[in-house]
Amino acid sequence: MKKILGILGLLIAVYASGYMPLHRHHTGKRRADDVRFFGFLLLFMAAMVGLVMSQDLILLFVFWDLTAIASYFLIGYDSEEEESRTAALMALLVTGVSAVGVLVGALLLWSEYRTFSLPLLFQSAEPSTTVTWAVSLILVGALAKSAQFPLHFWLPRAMAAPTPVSAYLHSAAMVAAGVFLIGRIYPLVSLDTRVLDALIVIGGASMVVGGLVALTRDVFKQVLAYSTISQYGYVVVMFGIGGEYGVAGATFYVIAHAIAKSALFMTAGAVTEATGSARLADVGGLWRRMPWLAVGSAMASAGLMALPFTIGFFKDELFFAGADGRGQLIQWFAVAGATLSFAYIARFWAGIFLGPRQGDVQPVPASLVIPVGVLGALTVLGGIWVEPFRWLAEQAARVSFGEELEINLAYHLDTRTENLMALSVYGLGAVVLLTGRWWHQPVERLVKIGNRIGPARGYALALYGMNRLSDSIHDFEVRDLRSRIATILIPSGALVLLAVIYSPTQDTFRFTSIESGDLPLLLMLGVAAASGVMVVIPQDHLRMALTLSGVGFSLAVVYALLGAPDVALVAVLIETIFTVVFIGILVLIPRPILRYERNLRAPRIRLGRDAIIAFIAGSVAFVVVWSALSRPSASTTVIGRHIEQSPLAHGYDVVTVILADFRGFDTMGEITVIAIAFVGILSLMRAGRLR
Amino acid sequence: MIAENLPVLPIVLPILAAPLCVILHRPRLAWPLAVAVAWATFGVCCALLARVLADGTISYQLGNWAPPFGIEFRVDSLNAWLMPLVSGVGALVLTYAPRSLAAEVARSRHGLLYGVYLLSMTGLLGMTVTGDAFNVFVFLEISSLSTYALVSMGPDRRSLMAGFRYLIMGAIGGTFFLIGVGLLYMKTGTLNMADLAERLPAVKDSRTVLAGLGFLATGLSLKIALFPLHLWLPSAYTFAPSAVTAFLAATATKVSVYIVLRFFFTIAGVGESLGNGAVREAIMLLALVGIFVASLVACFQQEVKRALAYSSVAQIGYILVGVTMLTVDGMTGALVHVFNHALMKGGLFMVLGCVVARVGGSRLSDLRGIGRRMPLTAIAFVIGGLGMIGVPATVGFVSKWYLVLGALEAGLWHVAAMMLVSSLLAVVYVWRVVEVMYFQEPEDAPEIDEAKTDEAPFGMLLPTLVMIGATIWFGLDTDLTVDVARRTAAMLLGGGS
Repeated sequence: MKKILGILGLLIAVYASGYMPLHRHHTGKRRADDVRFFGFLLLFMAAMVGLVMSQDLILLFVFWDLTAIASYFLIGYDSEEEESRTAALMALLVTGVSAVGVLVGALLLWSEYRTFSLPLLFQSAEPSTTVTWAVSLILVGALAKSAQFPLHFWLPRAMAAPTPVSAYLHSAAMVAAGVFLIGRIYPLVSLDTRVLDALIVIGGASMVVGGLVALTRDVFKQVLAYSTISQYGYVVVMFGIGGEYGVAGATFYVIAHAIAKSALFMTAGAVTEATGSARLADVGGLWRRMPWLAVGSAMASAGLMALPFTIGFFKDELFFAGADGRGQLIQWFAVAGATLSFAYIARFWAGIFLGPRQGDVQPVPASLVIPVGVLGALTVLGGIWVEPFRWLAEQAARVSFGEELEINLAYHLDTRTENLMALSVYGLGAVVLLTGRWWHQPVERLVKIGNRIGPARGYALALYGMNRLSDSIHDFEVRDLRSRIATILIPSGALVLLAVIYSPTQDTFRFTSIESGDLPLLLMLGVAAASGVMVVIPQDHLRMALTLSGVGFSLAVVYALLGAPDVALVAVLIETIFTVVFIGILVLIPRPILRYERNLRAPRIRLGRDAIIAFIAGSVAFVVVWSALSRPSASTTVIGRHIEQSPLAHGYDVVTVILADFRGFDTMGEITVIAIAFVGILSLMRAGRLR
Repeated sequence: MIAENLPVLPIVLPILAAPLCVILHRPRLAWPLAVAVAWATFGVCCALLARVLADGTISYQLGNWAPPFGIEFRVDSLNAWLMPLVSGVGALVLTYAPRSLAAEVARSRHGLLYGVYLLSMTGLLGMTVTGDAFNVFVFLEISSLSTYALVSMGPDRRSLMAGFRYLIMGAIGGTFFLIGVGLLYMKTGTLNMADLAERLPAVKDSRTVLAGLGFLATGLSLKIALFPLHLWLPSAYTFAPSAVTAFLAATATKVSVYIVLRFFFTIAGVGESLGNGAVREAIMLLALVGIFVASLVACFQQEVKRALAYSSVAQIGYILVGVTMLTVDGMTGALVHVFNHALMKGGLFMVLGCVVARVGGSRLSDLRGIGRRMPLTAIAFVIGGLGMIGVPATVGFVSKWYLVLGALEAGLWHVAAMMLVSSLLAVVYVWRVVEVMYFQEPEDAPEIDEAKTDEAPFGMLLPTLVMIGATIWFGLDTDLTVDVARRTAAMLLGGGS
């Protein structure tokens, strides 16, 4: 796997070195951007190599995400295009979100077996619900990365990337990472047959959906993208089928497909560069003008179409052999899928190189053609001398399968099932191609319906919905200050109320008798309360200020009655200063503003709401104070000691000593607070005046 | 003498320098003084940390009145590591400040701002170092009031409004806190924290104590911006001067988290306060909801500062989830995240300050093409952003790792999963910005010159890169942070009840 990646990567780098100057020319990019491009390409490669080599689920996840990030930059390379930006984000979101499945799955496995190491997991894992869940979650990530139905929609969109990116990411590497992961954890996957069945269903659906859509697409890269979806569908089905043929076949298929598909992507890029067109409808008959490209990509196409003497023949052979063991239904399905892939690849190649000549051709650099030729040659070579590929597939499959296995790959000229299936595929494929005009319309319509209600729509709706939700939350938050304070006070009140309700009730809420000596006290408290209520009633500003001061003055009297004349004196002093300042400010405020303020009428609902909140808050406060007063205070307080030590601090009354000595530090702090308040107010006022 | 008075120096130094700054008035004089004092404070805090790690808890008696009768400063492993963080970030941001302020605040007010900034630092350090419940309130007031003043000095007229709103909310929070302390005093007769911890068990059944703790919790929730009491935070962070935002985002809510830990773990004891399953679960639920809601809102903000502010609300959620797990791993994660988030968020806001200094705004549309114009700044943002997401090799990964482990240890599957899923939202809101920085060209694009960049001034760039570099350093070398956090977590969970 690693080697394949390396070789492909090298070829693509060569191809890109030829392609990028042309592309840069088309899009008006600067040379410096190329550095970025190759940088991310190499980062991606490194991440892939890391991914395939890691034996630890966490490490694997890290590289997994790294590939997603690198691919984001690669897909969005043409950043001035809106389309490539959305495509890049879509790819990142779909693969990134599903990657969390991998992580959660890994954590689930950890919780069960206390290890992230794959070999250890394989040793100790046993079928259980947790494992099934974990594996399913990991598979969600893997399938999304491999663009399997219904999370396939990001791949065709991602074709907005420059061609080298599509070739590497989407034929060989990024998508292959998904199935690679399935192969890597296959010993866990095969623990539960339900998971395997699900794989068959998902893979089959991708096969059919991808194949059908690919048949109707006109843009090169779209055809190839949907074909990738469909062909990785095969691989997933093969994993689902399981057994020696299934697992080895899947590996072999990935290798074969990677080689051939990259060649086709590069063909598409070269043709686009040469003709300036990216649609099948606009080109045709190019084989005369670009003979080498035609030959190279013909070999690659033949590989994907599974013709004999190409490596592709064996991939289908293994597929059929695997399907053979799983009953008629799967077999029919296999033939249908292979037929589709035969048909759309043939359509793709023929559409470009055969038929009436269309489109002007500019010469393209050799570095755009040579990699295609090399890959095409490799495809054919693999069909004749299959040994090295077989060996590779066996080695890889052994890891997945967990034991030695041997696959036989050779041509047999007899009527074994595989051969019959292959023959029927060729026949059916030809029929499908020739009858194109009959089915083209209905299939297209089907695809349109799919687009309208399919998962891509779900993605868009989800984004839109989240946007709306966020907006509404934001709108809710930025309303007026009053609402904000209400939103603070209500939860706070609820919290305190909860504390009161949940606490034990013994000994609380006691009444004591009221004696005649208490009457003045009660009277003053009543005055204070009444003034408090009066303030709320709409009235003149001056009257409001005076009523408010009534609260303070009556409380001062209460202090005096409770035997704290000095506190009372301070209270009177503060209240006087406060009232005078308040009235002074009122004088300074321009009359019209005051008049306007006074005539404001709040809506009735809000008044009601405020009243209710105020009532509840007041009741809670009342309950808290009542219960606090109903129980005796602490018997030993620090105050006692403070009083004892007052002479030591050279003071005559305890209040002074506390303020100036025992807690002098607090006093200093409070002085600082006042200083800051002063500075802050000053700066506020100046800011107000400056503008 | 310095060694003896070490605990009080972090307060004395800045509080003395602050009025001097205001008096000196001219930025050229005030700034060097402020920076020197800030770094000196940082040095003292580091020395303090070293001594606590070596010798254990330090107690310092102000005015030589023995606790609980006088005020006591008490430094243990819980607050010792927070102090270098607060003072270090403060000093670094202050170093960075003048060029940033030049773009945002009238020059005549810089001296004032440095003074108030130092006071704000004093307040935060004081809250951290003190061992007296009422003294906490005093320092809370110092830090809050100076914060209101700092916010309202912002460049925009809306910063006045933001400062005012912050003031109203902060005053409510402060009052609740004071009521809480008052109720506790009523029942225990003491204000010293260690003494409170001893006396509380005797009266724990009392409704007054519970109501007091309820008031404390509410007031502190406001201060740490726990969802849904976070409403003051986004506007304050958005409209404050960039340097102030960087400092506040990194430190203010963190110190309040410390106060929560102090009151609910070492004073009230785990068993008495959060052990009550319903309360614990309620707070955890709020934190989780907060993570999701705030992240979601962050995803769709046009103003990047505001998006990051919402993300702060979300990150506070992570910290509280870690705290409420009541496992050593979870608490370690929370403590490490306090530290790590301070570095990341401070760094990110500093980056935005660089952008504002050059471009004049921090809306998404202002950030177009920054990747090319200010390459180093943009890289710094990407690294900080990766930290927010929790990518390995950044600090974000370290804290999320322990948080998730803690959740697993506590058997809270859904919580672990939700934390992971919510990281995705971070991907979204960080990536939107990255995308704009690298992939979009400014609308009125002048002819692009390949070689020319327009990087932020060196004096801003260097502190920013130091801060962002720290997120990588502590992401790779986790020995110090995790070790201290683990020790502290064990102390909090083991010692309290």
